[in-house]
Amino acid sequence: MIKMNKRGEKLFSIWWFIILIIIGVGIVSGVSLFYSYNLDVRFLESDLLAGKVLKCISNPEGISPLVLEEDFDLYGHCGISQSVLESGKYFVKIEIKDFFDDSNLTEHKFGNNAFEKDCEIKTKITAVNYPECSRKSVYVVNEGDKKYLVSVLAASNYKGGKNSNEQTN
Amino acid sequence: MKKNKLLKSLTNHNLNKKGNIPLEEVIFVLLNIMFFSMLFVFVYNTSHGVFLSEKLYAKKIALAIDSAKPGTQISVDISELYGIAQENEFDISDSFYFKDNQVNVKLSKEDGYSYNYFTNYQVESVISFPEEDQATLNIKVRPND
Repeated sequence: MIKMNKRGEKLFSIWWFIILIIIGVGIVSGVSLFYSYNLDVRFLESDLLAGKVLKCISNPEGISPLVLEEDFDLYGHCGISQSVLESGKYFVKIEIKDFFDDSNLTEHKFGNNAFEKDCEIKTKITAVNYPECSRKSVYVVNEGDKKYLVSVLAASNYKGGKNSNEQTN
Repeated sequence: MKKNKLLKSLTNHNLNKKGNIPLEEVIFVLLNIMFFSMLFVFVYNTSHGVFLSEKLYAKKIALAIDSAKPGTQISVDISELYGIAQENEFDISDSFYFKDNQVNVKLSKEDGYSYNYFTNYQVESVISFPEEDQATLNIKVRPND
């Protein structure tokens, strides 16, 4: 469908179609990327999760004695939903170390354990589909002058989704 | 002389012998207008669309719940959503519901958008209308029994 006007200019040339395709694809992908990037709240979520867990297990009086136990129940103790955390989209790791000799006193992991490695990788490279991670550490002085270093690593790769459920309440 | 030639070519090059604009040039301009109108509609729909608003408010509310302490009352201005729901002939009081640690936002008869909050709270919500065309979502969070 190549037509020429009197001066021999091609109006419907292949270049015209190529330019339109380039402009269209550019605008569509630019707009889509802009709005999806602005709505990515995974980092905020992991930051909130890490902060919440940290506040729950440590306070100005020291660390919660329950967290030193082997079968520490994060869900019951910190009011975090087990079904959400174990949906495969979240991860929480609690580490408690002796402040002076750096020996590991206890460690608890909840959620998707694969995210621990992903968080390590993400500190070195940029990977959009990897989870967003947040690490928080505090120095805690317990009763009896025992000093601990409490670290919490939280990760989220939850992006939400369309809901087809009908309202029931 | 050169100036006159240029002026002549600029004013007359689109006209045929009878002085009419050739059909292919009209089609060319129309197709360009159609294409750029489609792009404009796409950009407008993406930035003002129902899905984007549902997504934005579901995430906003979920993050607000997660950062709240038990007993907190959160008020979210949803006047923008009220307008969108009215345009879609959808009742705003059916737009928000909280179930299984999920906030669901729906502004049309289509599927809505849902987002998890990880804190195990009991959530109660009420919509109030302080003024005409204004709406506020009041959320109260309590610890789960």
